[in-house]
Amino acid sequence: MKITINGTECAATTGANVLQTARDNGLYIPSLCYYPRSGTAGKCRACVAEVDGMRGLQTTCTTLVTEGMNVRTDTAKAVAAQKLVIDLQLSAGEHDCLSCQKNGDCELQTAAHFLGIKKPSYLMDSVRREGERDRDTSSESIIFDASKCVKCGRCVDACNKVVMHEVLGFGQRGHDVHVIFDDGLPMGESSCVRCGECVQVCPTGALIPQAAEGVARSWELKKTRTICVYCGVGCNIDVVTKGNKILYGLGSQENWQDLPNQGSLCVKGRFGLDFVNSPDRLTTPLIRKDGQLVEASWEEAMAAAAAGLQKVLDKDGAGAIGCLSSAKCSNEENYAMMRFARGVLKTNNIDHCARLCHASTVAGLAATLGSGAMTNSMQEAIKSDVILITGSNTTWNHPVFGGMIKKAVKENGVKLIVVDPREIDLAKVADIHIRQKGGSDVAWLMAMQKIIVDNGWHNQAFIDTRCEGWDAYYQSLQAYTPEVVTEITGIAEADLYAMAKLYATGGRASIYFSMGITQSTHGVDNVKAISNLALITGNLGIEGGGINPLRGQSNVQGACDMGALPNVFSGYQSVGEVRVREKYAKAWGIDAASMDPENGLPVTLMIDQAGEQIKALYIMGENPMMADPNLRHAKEQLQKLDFIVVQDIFLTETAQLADVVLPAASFAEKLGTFVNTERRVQIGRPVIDPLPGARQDYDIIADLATRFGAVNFPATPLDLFNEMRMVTPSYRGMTYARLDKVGLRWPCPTEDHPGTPILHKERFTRGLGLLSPLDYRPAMELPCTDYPLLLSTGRLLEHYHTGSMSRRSYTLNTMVPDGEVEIHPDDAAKLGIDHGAMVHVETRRGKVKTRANVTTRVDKGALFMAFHFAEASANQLTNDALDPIAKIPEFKVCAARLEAIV
Amino acid sequence: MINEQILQRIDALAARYPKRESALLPALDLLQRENNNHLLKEDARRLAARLKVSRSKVQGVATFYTMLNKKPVGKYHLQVDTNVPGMLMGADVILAHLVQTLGIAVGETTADGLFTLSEVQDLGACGTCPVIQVNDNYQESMTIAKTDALITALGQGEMPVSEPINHVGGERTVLLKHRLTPNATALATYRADEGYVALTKTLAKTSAQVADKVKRAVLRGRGGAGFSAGTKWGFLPKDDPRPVYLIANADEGEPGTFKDRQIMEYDPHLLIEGMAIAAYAFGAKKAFIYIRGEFRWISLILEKAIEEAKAAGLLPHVDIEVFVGGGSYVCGDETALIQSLEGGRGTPRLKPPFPANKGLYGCPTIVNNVETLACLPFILNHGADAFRAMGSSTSYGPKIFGISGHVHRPGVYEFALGTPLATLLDAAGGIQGQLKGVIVGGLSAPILTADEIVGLKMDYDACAAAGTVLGSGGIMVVNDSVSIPELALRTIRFYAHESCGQCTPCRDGSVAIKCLIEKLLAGHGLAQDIERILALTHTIAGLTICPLGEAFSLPIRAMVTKFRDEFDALVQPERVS
Repeated sequence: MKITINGTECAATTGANVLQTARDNGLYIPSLCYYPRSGTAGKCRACVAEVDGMRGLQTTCTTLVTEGMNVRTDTAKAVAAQKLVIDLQLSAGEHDCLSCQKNGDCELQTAAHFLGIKKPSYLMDSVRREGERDRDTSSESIIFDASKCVKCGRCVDACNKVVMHEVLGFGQRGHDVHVIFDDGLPMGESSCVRCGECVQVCPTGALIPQAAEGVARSWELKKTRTICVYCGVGCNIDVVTKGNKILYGLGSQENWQDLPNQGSLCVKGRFGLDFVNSPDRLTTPLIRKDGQLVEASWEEAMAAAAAGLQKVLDKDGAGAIGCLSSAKCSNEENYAMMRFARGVLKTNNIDHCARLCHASTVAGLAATLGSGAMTNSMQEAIKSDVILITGSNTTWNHPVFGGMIKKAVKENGVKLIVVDPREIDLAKVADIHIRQKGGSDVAWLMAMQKIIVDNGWHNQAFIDTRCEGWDAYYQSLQAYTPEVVTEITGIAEADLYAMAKLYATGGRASIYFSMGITQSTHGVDNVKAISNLALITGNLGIEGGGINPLRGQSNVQGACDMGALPNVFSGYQSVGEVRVREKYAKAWGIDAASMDPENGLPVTLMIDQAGEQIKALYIMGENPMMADPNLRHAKEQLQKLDFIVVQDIFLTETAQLADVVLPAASFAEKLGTFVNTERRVQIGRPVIDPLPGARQDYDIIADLATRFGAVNFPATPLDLFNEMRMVTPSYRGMTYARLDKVGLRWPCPTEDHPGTPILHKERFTRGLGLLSPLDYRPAMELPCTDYPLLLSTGRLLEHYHTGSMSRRSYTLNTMVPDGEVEIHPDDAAKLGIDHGAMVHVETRRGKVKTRANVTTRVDKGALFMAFHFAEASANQLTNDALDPIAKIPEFKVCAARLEAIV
Repeated sequence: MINEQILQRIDALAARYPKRESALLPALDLLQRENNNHLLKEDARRLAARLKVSRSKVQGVATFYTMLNKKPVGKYHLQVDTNVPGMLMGADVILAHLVQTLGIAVGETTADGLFTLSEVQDLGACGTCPVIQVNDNYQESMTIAKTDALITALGQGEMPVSEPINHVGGERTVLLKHRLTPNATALATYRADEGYVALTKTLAKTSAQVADKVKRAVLRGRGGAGFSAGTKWGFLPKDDPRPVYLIANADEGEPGTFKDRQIMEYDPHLLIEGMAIAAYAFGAKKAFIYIRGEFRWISLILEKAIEEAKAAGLLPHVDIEVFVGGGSYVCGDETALIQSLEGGRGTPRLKPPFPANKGLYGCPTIVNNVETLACLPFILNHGADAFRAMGSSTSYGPKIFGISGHVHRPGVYEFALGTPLATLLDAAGGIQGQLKGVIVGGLSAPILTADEIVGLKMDYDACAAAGTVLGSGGIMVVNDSVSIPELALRTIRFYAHESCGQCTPCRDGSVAIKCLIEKLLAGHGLAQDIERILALTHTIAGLTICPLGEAFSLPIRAMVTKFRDEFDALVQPERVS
């Protein structure tokens, strides 16, 4: 429709407000409180206009457009009101524009400039404002200056209604109204998680990032959009840089509604990117000489890498070399690594850390549905009626998505079931929270299904038309009687019944899960049990339903998609199939007969086979010396190797064992595509130049390939992507141009295909959904007399994976400088351990020293440790027992004991 | 400190509301009472966890309402109402006397921990000013001697019985009919005089017939806006699956107003029967009485009356709950009231959506003033025509007028709408001293000069024609001993104190005006400052989310323009031109 604003005809859409319409049409109306992502507040009263047919002044932010509406914001009456509001705001605060960080980017300044207000007119000095005049610098990353606050409430709404942290609020009333943190604490002492959403939405200099303070004026900063390097949500970040230095991140605003993060970020994406500029970055290649790593030229290092690998190749054959690709590198680089392993070295020994996180998902769902990825999209959380989350501490590990779930529950009334031994944040908003015994997942999942089937809550039509395997499945269900299951899981029968009923009869139900399900010696069975549950209730192929494994790394989905796995090429095309090998051989210009027809070794077996079948490893951006279970054993194994090449951005624990270390460019320095947890392929862009001395991973691989005689090995992201999509049907329709705005979700077979947000709509990838009969098996190592506690491991909000990045971030490492072990107060009392005391945690595999965090977040008899901290590495303790199919280790359950250090 | 027993009482409070968060304010009040009227931060934290709300939300609520004490207070918290009626009737003298007697400043506590002295805004006891609220107890019609006696008695641990000098008069046909009847709060007394007959008649009709009758009576809202109750009910969506709520607005806080209190305190069943009729008319199964926190003892009277009516089987169709506020004028605005009842800060909402469509808990909601609801039994009993037989032009039915300030017999007087103001003033014993002006509809009504009130009839239209509003019918008489700039300052101080603080013109504009008047009174004012005040009032009126901006802009503007010479006289002589 058309409306007229100040005589200018403007295009408008139904449901839009006048202020937004003006902005969309390039017209300015003074305003302070309106911010699309936090919503319409109508509070500042600056954006007023006279509208034909309406009495008095109207706030344009609250007035919805109607066809032919005539709006004037420039009448004497409207301008007088606008001026008054802005003048009062200027008068009520202390706005030191000359030195303000927000100078040039301040909405109050813009309004004052537009209205020609030179200085504030009203003296309000007689009024003392409680809580004001103080600059709150208690947080390591955010400065709050209350005297610049215009009380617009954007930060409060963002905190409470967008990211759902519920830390900020308003205290007092009238002129004393001011923003508070919790119950009036300094920000740094409050429960603020530093997501920085408030900083992003603040219209003035009241909330600013510490990193920018005094560093640059707004016009000296550059913003470049890219994809966050941390978790798998795939947040679009406008990275703010000055020169070649990253300062902080902003959630991308353009097309925010269609982005995975919808404009929000967590603390890692906002304030945790400064590791890129860490002085620890590798910028000079290293070669091991006389047992020591010493600096070398690129030519020396590349020659040494090629020679070392060639020697093993010559002596022991291609099968003696293992390649570890990286869930942090781009699709293009993973494809390059895969091409190098299969097409140059001619081995299928390629894998990456997905082995340690979702190998069981990939194996389990491939067996039951035919595709091992998230079936639905994150944006559908609000479309679900019921959400079941198990084994995912979403608000810590996928924080932005965790916030979306909280919002779905609190604002949209979605019912939430959380099954987790720990009282995670989401448990606090859940309708049902069940604390199952560690490792008992098959039992409670199958028991739910028995209850569902016994009560006739299953979807018979869906089972009849879309599934197979019912009889054997139904048979196996019978073992899961309440008595048996309650004994195994510790879950009361009534609770099992309640969650079965809610999940099966509550409407559209989705399941989200993560490592709590997969990192188990029966991880594949766990995943199959989840698959059964969704299948018998018909919750697949529908919006708001699905089975949704949340992927951990920024491109772990992509690394899998690109075939950085021992059994498949890109697009999950089997290495065992001749036709497939021939297709790749043709694309790569090599002889298909020279290729390896057998599945290669997964990373866990490469480590086990070190010194035996495996003699050399070529490792790109992976840190198995922190990530793998039973690290002492892993180290012993790696030391048995003849040759290790590591290319990375830091001298990681793994790189320290290498023979050649090659300094690579970081995510922030490269172009390439990254796939988020919902199969969305997005473009990562360079926000700074590579640090001098560092080379792009794809460039290094191409160089190495050439040294092995490869001809025309593609050496740019675009060449790699274009070659990849021609041999990968699910990516065939993607081009950089199409991915530019909001990405595409695979499969996307043709260039006019819109992508696939929901999988398995009409049929499953494998045809019919397979119902799996399952037997319950306990975890490999359970608490006993000597090791009476059950140790589980995982991650923290403030840190990431092996800590190589997050521990080099000022904000993140200041917030949480070291690790700890969570222990229940009852157990702590029994052992005489105080909160904060130093303790030894010991398992059959090792012993580490850390601090006790006495908390009811863990259940009685349970311990929890994060594995980010090299000085107290949880993976010294974890069990390297593997799932027989997926070869994933049992990180989540092992027996431990704990003692106070006296 | 919170213990298990208190936690259980909090859970019991929470169970009274469709949503647990509604118990936030009552629970904060409970915690404060359990700790010598001092709200502890750690208690508030535990409450947040118990009600599953954020700490910032609890803190936001705790600091919004003035009756929650975030700092320790003495055993006796002496709260002197210095608002305009008090100002006119000697409250400042009482406050000064207390400062001197106790040897502490306002806001301080005596060394022995016995007394805390506070100045408060309007206690809804305007006819019986000066008034001191001592903890939950009102001490009314205070004099220096009574104040001394009060301090002495409290010192000995005794709370004296208040001796208010309450004048009650007028026609008293409906609303104050039982005001002087002994034991009028008892159900038996009420039933002895037609009580609940109207409800019986109501339940025999269809709800549409009831609503129609009310609509035909043209019952205009007595809270101040004068909007037809029948029409308001008609805004409720038809065939909506959501529950409908009725709320009696008993947050009587407009300075000069003390009428609803008369009904609730002395004839509670009149309100309850009215609510039962209204609830039947539009199908509300749950109803609330939102009563201001200062009227705590009246809330107990209401609860007892509700229990009695329930026990007698008179309320089969509706459940009535009393919700006690926490000290906030703006909660008299229906959307702020709803916010408050939902457990939030009392900040008015944007309209639309109107409460009839999206009110309490997002459901259709009707908020009616106590006096409005109290008219319903008469209408259902005697018919719309009998109701319309009272009154004039478009203003029908009876009205309670509270008269305070400079009259000989301040008090409450019931007359039909349209009764001449002169009749009312005569009933109140006539004017003390030389009349300067009259504020006829509560403090937010523009003041009328002695000339302007000649021949004024007290109905909605006549007041509008005279450039003011009938409002709540709270009449404040001002004689020539009063400085209008001082009156203006006291007025704007009140509104600045009560602004919820969410929108700029009200939050900062009220303070800007206050500072300008202070500047004038301090002798530093310039002529242009008077113009600035006027400009502020012109621009702010109509620019705010709720009517508060207008509520101070119009009276201040009237005071400045009608008594301009008093303001001009404050301007520094050499700068007049």
